[in-house]
Amino acid sequence: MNLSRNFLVTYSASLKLTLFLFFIFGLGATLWHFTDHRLKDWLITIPLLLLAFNLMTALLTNKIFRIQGWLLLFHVGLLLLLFLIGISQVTKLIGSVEVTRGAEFSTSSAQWQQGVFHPNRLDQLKFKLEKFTINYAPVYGEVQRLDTQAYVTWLDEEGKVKKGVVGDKVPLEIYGYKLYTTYNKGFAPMFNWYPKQGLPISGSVHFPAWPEFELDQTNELQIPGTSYKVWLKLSFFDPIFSTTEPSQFRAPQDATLIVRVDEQRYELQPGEFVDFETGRLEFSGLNTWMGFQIFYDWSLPWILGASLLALFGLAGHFWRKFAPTPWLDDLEKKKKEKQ
Amino acid sequence: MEQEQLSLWLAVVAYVIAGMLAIFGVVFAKKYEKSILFFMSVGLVLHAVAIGLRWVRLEHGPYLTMFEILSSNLFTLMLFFIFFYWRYQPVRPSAAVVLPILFIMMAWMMFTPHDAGMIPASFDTIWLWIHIGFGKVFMGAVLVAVGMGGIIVLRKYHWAEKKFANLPSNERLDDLAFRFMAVALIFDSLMLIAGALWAQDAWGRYWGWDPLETWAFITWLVLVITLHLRATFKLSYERGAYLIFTVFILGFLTFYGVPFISNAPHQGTFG
Repeated sequence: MNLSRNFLVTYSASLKLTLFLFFIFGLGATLWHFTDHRLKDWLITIPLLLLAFNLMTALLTNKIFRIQGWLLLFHVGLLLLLFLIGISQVTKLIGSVEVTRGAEFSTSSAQWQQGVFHPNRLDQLKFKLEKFTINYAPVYGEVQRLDTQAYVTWLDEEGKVKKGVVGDKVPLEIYGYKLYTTYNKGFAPMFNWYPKQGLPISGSVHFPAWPEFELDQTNELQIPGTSYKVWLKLSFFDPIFSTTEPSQFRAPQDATLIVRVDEQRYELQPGEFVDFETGRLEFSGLNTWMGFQIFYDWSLPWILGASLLALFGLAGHFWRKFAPTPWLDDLEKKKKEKQ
Repeated sequence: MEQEQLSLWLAVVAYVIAGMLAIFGVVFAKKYEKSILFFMSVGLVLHAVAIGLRWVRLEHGPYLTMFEILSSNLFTLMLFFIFFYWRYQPVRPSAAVVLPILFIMMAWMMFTPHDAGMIPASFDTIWLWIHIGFGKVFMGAVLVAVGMGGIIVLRKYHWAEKKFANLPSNERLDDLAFRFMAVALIFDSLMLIAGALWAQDAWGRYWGWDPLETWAFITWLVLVITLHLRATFKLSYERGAYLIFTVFILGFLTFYGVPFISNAPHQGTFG
């Protein structure tokens, strides 16, 4: 028993181990930044877990925490913070989705990462992006993005239809999920597929974000229920934004949709189509899409509270520790010596 | 615009005079403390006028372009230093170390294009002000600590030992420097918390390990390690001073380097 207690005090609760773990934590965070490995989160998680263990054993065994209340408060706050961050990691969800103007949110176009204990209710989110505006203006010779508004209709948790405007710092909140507008937006050609047998289908394809990928406005369309895969490219000369007056993001007015099917190349305007053996693909028009960030983390206010508690403890500890002012005593001494 | 430039140039001249007096004071063992305080204060007032005129002209605060960030940080660092120079006598001789460091910022500021920028929508929040405010106090506190650490390091040279003989002992300077580092840790932590609140509002995530966040975290961690090292080991005063310099350099690079070489959302760009 004594041996294990000694081990606990000497090694696992040691301040030297804390320093070593801080170093490992810093190294992990730096490496995390430079790697795309799927297990990279462990670079941060492992040092944090070890730090939490180190902190916990220190709290249990180090007598200083029974003498210094502020120091205890600081470290309890830190431990609570680490615990909450851990809880947050297994219960939160963060993701993104692209929604076509006039279309409803669908999980099929969303990507997300969620903790193992996250009660996923994304499929219950019902909202429609009626339209959106992103304002631009020439500022000192450069066209700059200003504010964003997304006009949305959604079903709240009681099933009531709601309408509102979200954007920039104001997210849409449903079932605890927060959907923030992002700088991501782009063009979306709309299609109708008329199969020779069966019902027509409508849909859209999202080109890469514009203007971030303005030189790569291409994508592929797999026609549903068929083996046809078509390559798409959007070509236009419309500058979209004015360099002399305020303007808004919109679809280009002179766009041509280039469609390539195997070796065949077509240039389509809205209303034009390409015939296949089993059906007809109509380009019905050019729309736009907007990217949203999806965020769910119930622990945020608690994490904030724990951070402030820890900081309050640290400030109290420093205040008590630094109450003596020896340099003033030195000055007094010098004055007396002069006298 | 011309008044703005004139005010800024005069402010820099006043700061430089204060810095030169501080250096001469140490070299020739003279006491120019009142004159130094006077010139620093005059410089600060002129600097405030220059910032104010630009603020009125552009209708936004000094936090967008490199020039604005350098200018506003120089202003707050001077404000912080002047306050402690005025209130705490032991801090005063460190002007000979602190002001030359600020000369570098002044030169950089004057040679940086003074062009205007624009405010991204994500910058329209009170948390930005709080975040920046805490960051400035953090850097101010580290700067004062650097001043004292600088004296400790210079003292190991024979010529400087005599010049700084009348100053408090290394033990006292080290103690005071680490008090400022403790203040720096509190405000650096507050800066990160306020930044996280802003990031949650602006980008829908409170922490994303973007380059600026990563470097801000590394700076914070090195500051924590510095204080922890001092609490755990009996560090020599000199080593303590070098650790303070490290935190300052990291903080400096994080403030003035990373935001301008990364394309992270912190920059508020992306089109």
